[in-house]
Amino acid sequence: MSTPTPGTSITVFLNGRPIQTVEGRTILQVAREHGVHIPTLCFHEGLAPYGACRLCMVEIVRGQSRQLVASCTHPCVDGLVVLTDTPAVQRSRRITAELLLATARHVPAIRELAAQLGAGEPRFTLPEDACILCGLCVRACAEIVGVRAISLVNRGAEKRVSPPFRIASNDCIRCGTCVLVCPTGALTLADIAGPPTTRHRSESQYEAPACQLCGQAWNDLPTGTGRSQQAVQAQTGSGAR
Amino acid sequence: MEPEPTDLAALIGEHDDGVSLLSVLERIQAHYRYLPQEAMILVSERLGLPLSQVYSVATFYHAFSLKPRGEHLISVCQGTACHVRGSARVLEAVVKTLGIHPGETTPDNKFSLQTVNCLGACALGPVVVIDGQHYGLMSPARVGAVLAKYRDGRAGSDTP
Amino acid sequence: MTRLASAPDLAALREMLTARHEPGRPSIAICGGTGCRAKGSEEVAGAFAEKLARLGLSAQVTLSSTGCHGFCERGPVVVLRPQGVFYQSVRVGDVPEIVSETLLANRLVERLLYTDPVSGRRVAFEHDVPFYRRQHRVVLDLNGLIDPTSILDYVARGGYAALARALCELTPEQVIAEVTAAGLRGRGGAGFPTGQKWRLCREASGHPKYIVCNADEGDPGAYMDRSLMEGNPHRVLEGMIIGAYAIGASRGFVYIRNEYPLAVRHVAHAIEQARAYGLLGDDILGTGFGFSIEVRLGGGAFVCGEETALMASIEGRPGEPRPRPPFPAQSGLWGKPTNINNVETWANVPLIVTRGAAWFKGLGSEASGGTKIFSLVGKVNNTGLVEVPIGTPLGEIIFDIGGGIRGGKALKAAQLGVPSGGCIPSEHLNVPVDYDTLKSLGAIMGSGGLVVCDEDTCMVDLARFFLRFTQEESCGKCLPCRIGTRAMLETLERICTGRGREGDIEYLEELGGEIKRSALCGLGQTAPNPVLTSIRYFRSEYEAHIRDRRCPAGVCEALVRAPCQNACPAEMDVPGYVSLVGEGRFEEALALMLETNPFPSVCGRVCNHPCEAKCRRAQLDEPVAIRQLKRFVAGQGLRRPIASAPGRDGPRVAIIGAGPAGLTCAFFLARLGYRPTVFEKLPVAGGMLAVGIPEYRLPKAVLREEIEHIAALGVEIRTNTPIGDGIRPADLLQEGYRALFVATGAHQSRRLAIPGEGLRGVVPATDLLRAVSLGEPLPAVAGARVAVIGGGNAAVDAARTALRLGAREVTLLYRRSRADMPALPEEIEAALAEGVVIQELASPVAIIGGNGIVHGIECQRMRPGPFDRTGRRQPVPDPEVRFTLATDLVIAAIGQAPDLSPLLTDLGVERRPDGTIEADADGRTSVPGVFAGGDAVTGPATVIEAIAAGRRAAIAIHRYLQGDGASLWEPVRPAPAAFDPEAEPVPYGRCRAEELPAVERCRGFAEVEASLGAEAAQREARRCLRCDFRDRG
Repeated sequence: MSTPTPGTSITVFLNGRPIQTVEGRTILQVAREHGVHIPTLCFHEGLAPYGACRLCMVEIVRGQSRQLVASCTHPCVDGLVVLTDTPAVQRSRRITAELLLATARHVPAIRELAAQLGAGEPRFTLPEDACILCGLCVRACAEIVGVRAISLVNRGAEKRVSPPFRIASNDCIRCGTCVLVCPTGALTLADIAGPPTTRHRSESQYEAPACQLCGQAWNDLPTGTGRSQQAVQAQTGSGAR
Repeated sequence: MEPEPTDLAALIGEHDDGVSLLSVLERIQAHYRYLPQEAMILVSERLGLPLSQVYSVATFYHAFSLKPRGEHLISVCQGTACHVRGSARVLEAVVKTLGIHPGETTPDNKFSLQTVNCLGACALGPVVVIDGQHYGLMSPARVGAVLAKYRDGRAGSDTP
Repeated sequence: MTRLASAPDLAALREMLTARHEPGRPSIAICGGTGCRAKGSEEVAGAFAEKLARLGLSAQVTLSSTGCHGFCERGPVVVLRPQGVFYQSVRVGDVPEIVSETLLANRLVERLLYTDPVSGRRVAFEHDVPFYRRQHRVVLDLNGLIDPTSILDYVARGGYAALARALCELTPEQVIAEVTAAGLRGRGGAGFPTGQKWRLCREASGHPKYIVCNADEGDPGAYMDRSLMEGNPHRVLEGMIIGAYAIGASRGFVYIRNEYPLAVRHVAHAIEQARAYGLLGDDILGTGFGFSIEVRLGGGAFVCGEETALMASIEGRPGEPRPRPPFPAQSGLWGKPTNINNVETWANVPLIVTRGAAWFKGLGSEASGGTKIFSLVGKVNNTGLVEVPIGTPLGEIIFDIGGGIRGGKALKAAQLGVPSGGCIPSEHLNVPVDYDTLKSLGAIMGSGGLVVCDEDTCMVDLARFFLRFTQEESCGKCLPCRIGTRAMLETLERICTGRGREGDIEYLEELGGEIKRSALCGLGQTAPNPVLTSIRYFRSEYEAHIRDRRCPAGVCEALVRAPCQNACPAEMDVPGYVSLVGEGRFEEALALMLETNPFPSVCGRVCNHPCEAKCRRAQLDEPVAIRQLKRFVAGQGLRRPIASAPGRDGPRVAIIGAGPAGLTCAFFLARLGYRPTVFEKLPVAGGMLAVGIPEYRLPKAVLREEIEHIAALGVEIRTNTPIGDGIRPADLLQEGYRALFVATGAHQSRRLAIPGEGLRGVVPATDLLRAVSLGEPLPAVAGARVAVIGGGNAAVDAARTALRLGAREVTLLYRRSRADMPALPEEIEAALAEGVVIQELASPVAIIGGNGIVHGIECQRMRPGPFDRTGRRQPVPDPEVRFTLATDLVIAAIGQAPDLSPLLTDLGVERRPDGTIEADADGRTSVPGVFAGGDAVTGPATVIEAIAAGRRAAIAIHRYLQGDGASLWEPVRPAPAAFDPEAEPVPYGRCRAEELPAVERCRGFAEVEASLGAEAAQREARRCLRCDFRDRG
């Protein structure tokens, strides 16, 4: 984006087809609007794009050179040439899917996705772990619900989703949004929530956290029907920062 | 070392505009040799940051540790130049002598071992730093003698 | 400290400081960089201060601690000015002498001077030290001169004049134009054009704007930025302020990794000083422009060197990169336009503003202006910081400035831009080090870390090392990096531990390629580079690990029992027999040797000992004298009980050639129960051992005795029996020989191909040596002036033989430098001691004669030119210089080739274009039942390689005749020698064997070197570190 002025009308070429759109939209948004399928895993309409799963790669062409970019974050500019299903793209998706199978090979949704993308039995495996670190749970808790009860801790191979100090989070309101948004069923509330205590917040500073959408505080029902879940289910795009 | 509330408050300092979370945590780490839970909670409140963010930062950066570090911190450089000159064998010797692996602390809390990636003293490789003191041109054969100095409390004497 | 309110104020301050400066005033500058500090330079500085105080000289002599001088190998460095006397490796104990001799009496302390390793000359002055002379130090120019904690030092030398010029004489657009025209590219690694980056940020909308100095310098092996920050922090700040002005930024951050405490201190101090002088803050120099800088510390995460991760860190979040676009120039810190540049990039800016874009552009290459600072580290002699114009050939940096490889080993590759870069092998030493030229070779310039690897570096292990680093530093956000690089790492771990599989290399290539294209940030995108480049240039090393379970460099522990054994072509059990010698168990040691080598006496004298080159004892003092130990054991006259297969009436095998390969093959075939017959064309057996290697290195009696032991096993040796015209190979097969082993060697001397070669008095070296060995008529050598052409062992042997035959003078002419001669170094030294004159860089162009007899040789002087594919400088003629050497005898020794024409056509075996026989490692040729080995297959090589080939062929022949499952002889298994792994290595150095004094040697052909005695041999053997010992506890 060189000094983007959102709203300016531009033309992009999607698989050869000229498409009118506005500056500032991402390739993925434009593709979805025009019925072109691009696989994704860490993308959600209601959240800011994250760019972690690398499944949404597409090829852009600039003169003689071609480059793979992540369509969920790459912005459209006038004259952009995009190819969403070339052999290079397919190879990339296949390898990424194979890497997904390294840990999440026992998750039906992942197996199905991998099969669709042409990945066979993984040549490299790690201990089974349904969490693929797509970050959707953390991002939903931060951007839609606003309590930030969980975050990504450690780094590299040790990275995982966790509440602070790996104990039940005082900031969790048990709305269940994170469970709902998880694509592999890796997350359970038991990992995160416990009865509200002030055990790890100083007495004087404790305030019961509440959902920024509906104002609901601690919710005893395992999966409530709070507005955060509605937001997630309807994919209204609200709550994005 | 148990954190004193007044000590902590001083370490956190004034939280004016643009204070750096990392700088605050580094001061606490330097003082207590680790980041106590209470400290992180207080930081989160004083700086107005979510506790989950403070915890993420504390676990992401290797400068911080959540468990107390030993009295003497041994850093074995694993940079390329040192590696090419045989630092892996030096590390092996340290591991064998102390009985702990990188990231661990000896049961008597005397030594903590960590590896670092390039201290920028490549002419001296392989390099081991103990409490800020550089030991250059290390070889497996010299490890025992160097560590013994710290065990016996003779550290800080001349001749690296 | 008075605040400078305007540019004229600054100029006035400079003038005052310059006026105050006494040019003749003595000063002592001690390097206070981290490297020298680690070697004790602070204590040295303290000692100087104390000494000067005691002598009452503190006021007259300026004593300062400066930033890193760059020549870290020789620290602590002390420079006395104004003369510029350069002292290295200075210790506290040297201080009194330096003061009394140099400071007060103007005399040099010789032992502290730098000694040039090639010429042996001592160099007194800083500007003469070759390490510095060939550099072009502009960014580092003040590093050894100023006190980095003094802003006045900086101002006195022109500091902040660029800032004044920019703020008062140029518009921001003009500043950007100047930086763009200069061709400055980002010095942090990616090489993005700096002017363009600034322009993008300037044009972006948003307020406030930020400037960041990326001082995270996480590349393991790179420390240029550290030295700049420690040694001249104000220059970096000045660059940042100019940049802020150009872009329109109001706040800046210097993000320094926490592992650099001294740099942090110096930068923070410099910021305070600049603020106090009004060079930072509001209304800088009275121009109304305001800018402030803060230091922010890193937290020990390499990924924070990536721009978006760095910004996340400053914002107080984990260092997870963000996808780009949007770029920091549009949306950076807290969503505002931010310009991030590397330390070295910022440091270049003031130079461009004062000296101009044209000057800067002219310094570098077409595509990139200026210089680049490299940290030259690893296996190089002169480790340190090197600043050269961009486009300097890599070989120049490594050899001319770096002084070549430590210990005289061979260069294997240079790693640039670790861990994100790639390796450049020795074939590409001419590559100009520039952003784009390196990319085409698969590498990147990187931040400047240049790690030199030699023959003892395993490229597979090194790739694994880099991937371990990347895995540890990966932020873990994206899949390709977090899991993909782990998959690559575990594959490499398997390969390095002997569990590699077919298909692993292809998997690494495929996965590596996809990770490069799909990872989120630069860390992941470049992580596969070391693996991919090492596969590209060193694929055979990977293949050796996977298919042969071998690590050629001798590094990967799981594949290497001991580096000595690993290096031996015959895989002799070196630690086994050495340890037995240490316990006095000589007969068992001998039996162990004979398991792989029937010529321990011979090898104990003439082997080129690759084992000793890898001996780890050399890291303590010197390698174990393995060759001498072999000679000692074999010379004890011990019994040689040979285990052999039962039944001595096995099938017959014919062997053509009684050289080391042929006789070794015969030896092992006999042990396997066969009846070998060896056909030898010459009147004696032994091949090159008998007619190539002179008596004074290998007495004929010793060789004969060893051959007799072989014959005693039932091997028939028929001398004076050529195979070819008379007895044809087909005849042999008809006569009932079940297999053939061709080991005819390479005895045909290469022609010189220069005019005059046909004159009388021009002799091939092999002919001369053979004539001497066989007692045949010789050309006239006594009293002659002899010229030997060549640089290998044959040349040196011929030269030393000529001396013993009474030559008046012997000159050896070699076209390259002496250091490049392929002959054994000890042979060359012996030749020199005996009086051979070596003329290096001399190439003969014509042999001159009269009446058909030689009386001179005309030579072309050569000089070292560009590097060739072997990593050596190719000699190129120096057109003006020719000279003529008066000679009576010219001996040609420029190489040998196999000469087998009639024999081979008969056999029908495939040959290579150079005449050698095409055969695999086990000796199988294109014709079943016909095997070949030794020099006839490899071209001229070593004795031990021929022996190894003979043994492998014997086993291959055995399996050919009796099936793959056929069993071998029962190996000897001596009880292992005792070893205490906790014990300290014995403290004494290498035992030296007696040698005939040089003056006595040339009187005849008596053996020059003697054997060690029994006590000495045992002592020597106990120096072995038993690298083969594996803890069974």
